[in-house]
Amino acid sequence: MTSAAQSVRAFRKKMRRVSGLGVLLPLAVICLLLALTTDTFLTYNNIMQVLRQTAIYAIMATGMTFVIMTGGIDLGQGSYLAFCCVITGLIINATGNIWLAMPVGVLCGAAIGFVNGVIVAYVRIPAFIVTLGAMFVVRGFTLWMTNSAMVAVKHQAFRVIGQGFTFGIPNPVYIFILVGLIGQLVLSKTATGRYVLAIGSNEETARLSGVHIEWNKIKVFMISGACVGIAAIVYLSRLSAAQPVAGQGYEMESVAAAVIGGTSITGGEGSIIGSLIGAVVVAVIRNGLVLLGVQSFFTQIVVGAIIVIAVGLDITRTRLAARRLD
Amino acid sequence: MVALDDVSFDIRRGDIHALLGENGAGKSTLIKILTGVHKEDAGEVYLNGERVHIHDMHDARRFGIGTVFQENSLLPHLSVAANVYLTREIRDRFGLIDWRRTYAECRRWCAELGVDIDPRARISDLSVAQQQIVEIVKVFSQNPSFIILDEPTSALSDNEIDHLFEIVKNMQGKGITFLYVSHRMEEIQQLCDRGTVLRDGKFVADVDDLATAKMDDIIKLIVGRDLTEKYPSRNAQIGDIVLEVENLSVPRLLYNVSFSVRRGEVLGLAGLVGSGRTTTAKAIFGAIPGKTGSIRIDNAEVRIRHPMDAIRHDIGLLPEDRKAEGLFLTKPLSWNVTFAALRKYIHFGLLNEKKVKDEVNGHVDRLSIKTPSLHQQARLLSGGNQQKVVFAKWLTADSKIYIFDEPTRGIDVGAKSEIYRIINRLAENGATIIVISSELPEILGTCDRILVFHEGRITGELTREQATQEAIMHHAIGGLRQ
Repeated sequence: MTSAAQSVRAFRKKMRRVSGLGVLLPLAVICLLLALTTDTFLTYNNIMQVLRQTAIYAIMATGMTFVIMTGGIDLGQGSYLAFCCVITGLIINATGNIWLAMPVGVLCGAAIGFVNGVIVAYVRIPAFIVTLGAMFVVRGFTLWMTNSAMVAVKHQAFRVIGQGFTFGIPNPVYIFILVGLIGQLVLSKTATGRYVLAIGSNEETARLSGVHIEWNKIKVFMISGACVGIAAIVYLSRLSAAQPVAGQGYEMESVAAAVIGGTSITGGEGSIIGSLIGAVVVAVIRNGLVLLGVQSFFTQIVVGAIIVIAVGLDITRTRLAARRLD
Repeated sequence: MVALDDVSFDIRRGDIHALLGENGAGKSTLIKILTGVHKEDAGEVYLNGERVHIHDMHDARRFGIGTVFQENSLLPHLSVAANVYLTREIRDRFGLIDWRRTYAECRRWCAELGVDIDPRARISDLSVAQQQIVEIVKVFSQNPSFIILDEPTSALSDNEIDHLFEIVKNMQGKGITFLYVSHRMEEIQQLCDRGTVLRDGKFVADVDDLATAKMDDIIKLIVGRDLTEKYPSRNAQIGDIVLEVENLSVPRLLYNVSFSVRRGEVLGLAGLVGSGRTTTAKAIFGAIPGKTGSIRIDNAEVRIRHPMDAIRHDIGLLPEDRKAEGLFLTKPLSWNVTFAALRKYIHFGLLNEKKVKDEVNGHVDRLSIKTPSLHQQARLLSGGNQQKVVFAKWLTADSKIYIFDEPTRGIDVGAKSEIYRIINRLAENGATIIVISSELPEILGTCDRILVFHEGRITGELTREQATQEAIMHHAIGGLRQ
């Protein structure tokens, strides 16, 4: 065997260990089909449009992936988005200081996550229930706080984050890639990342190996909340307005991105990179169906089917692995 | 693995027949064959002189075989009557459940057994003893001619046991035959007519007059096995006391357990399954809530409320069930080995992969773990190599006190002796070691001193010289009085 062939094999082996890259192939196929069937898909403007749309979902999906990795879920993300938007917007309007407003927005997200995490870890209510509750509570709180009115933000410099371009690429794209890379680094290179995967993989072994299960569960919900806080900044900057009804259903887009990207819904497996690609897949499909002139309800059908197929493949894979175990 | 090998015996009609043997002697497998849970590879079952084939639970029921299993099989949120008639619901002409008749029938069965239990009571509101009795009522109401009782008294107090025996004798009077499985000699002698002893899946002997047989003779039949496996010798210096446990208790599981272990010493915890050995290990390790008592390490009182605390005090626990508690099966070998000591490999917040690789490679060599690569998922390793990975995890964590709970369970003979050598090397290097094992030869072959547990208490302490299989078994079945 030549050394080139050997290194290709080594590279392939390494790729297999990085979970989540499996979704790259379907993405490439979809892109190729769209490039062939439409003349608008493969244009600079359209690609940038798709990537910019991806940003908010991808940032939220980064946080969601951490939660799902422990075997939990965060259904409140959409509500926190509106809440963080409103908080950030109100502070900007009151002080004009975006360097105060942005960190506070992110911290608010983390604080909501902290409360969720404490209830999940110590009261031992399933994450599904706790965050379902949080979804309603935070939404209601936001509507009450704003009297269900929009908060318009007039700050020129702040717009750059969501509306500006750097080297011809929209700024939100840099932000989501940066958030995703930091997330991936935390996941694969830090103790916290290991513990998160370990809890989802086998909580009892993790506990008996000295992992503070409760604290790590709290951490993932805080990461989820903080990611929503970052997404909220991008969202607010793009629209220059905070809608108290913003983000409804976004938590589902976020879950979809994670599971399409190879995150196991039962925890223990997955990658942030995968979730980012998952978010791109969803955005490309939406965009493609629009370009193809398909009616919008059909988009829902396709996205829904893809989620079920992705999870179906994931579960079949786990079951086959378990069978080999015996 | 052959769990049962060519076992033949017969049970007389109307007898209460005891099935005797150690953990793993094959009693459970035999019961599972008789109830259709497992399928026999060869052999025949005759009922009233007729060959029967039992494929599943329904067959067993059809042939009049009823079983009261060790673990409670009742649905806690349903009533007594609903449980008794589960899958046999009494229906009215509209196909709906006729609760009036269900309760009445259930009450009738209870009365027939002389049991005072309200058919409408929720199972979760009953005591463990009452639940056990509901199980018996359930089986009895199916009109069986033959009932298997698998350790029915393990969770009961003396009074409750007497009551249970009354019920069993009462049913025996109605012509029902029993197969009775228990570890408690006294009970067996009190209740049973004849008995059969199994050992290592093989038939050993029938005991015809249990009531008059000597307990010692029966124990000899139960354990009577030669030390066939080789245990490598050890040359460790036994030093100062390292770990001292005083009055360790866990509500309803462990009562005032006190002992100490020295540097270089291997202490064995013997006893039957459920006697408190694993509870002791987990309590020391901080993995059981609600424990009381004190733990001293190197003469200093320590508070261990979570496995984290135990690890900080250099304690390592190799758990009983390595797949469920010791390994991340879908994670790579290197992941598993370094998991309890991740901090060692973190520089500036990030894992140093090179250092991980070097150290894990070292352990793989030293423990001769057979694996194609460090990335191999733990589930793909053999049982022996999996166990070595768990050993390596605690070696990596630089533990000084090791608790090994069933270190060689489900491992082939070659890997076993390698594991004994690892334990020896640790002791020789000054580690303090506690070994829990259900295999008496293993305890005898590896330990300097042995504590025997029975129902949550230490009932005997034996030095290596005093210890024999018979002596351990004596204490293990609570035979203090002999």
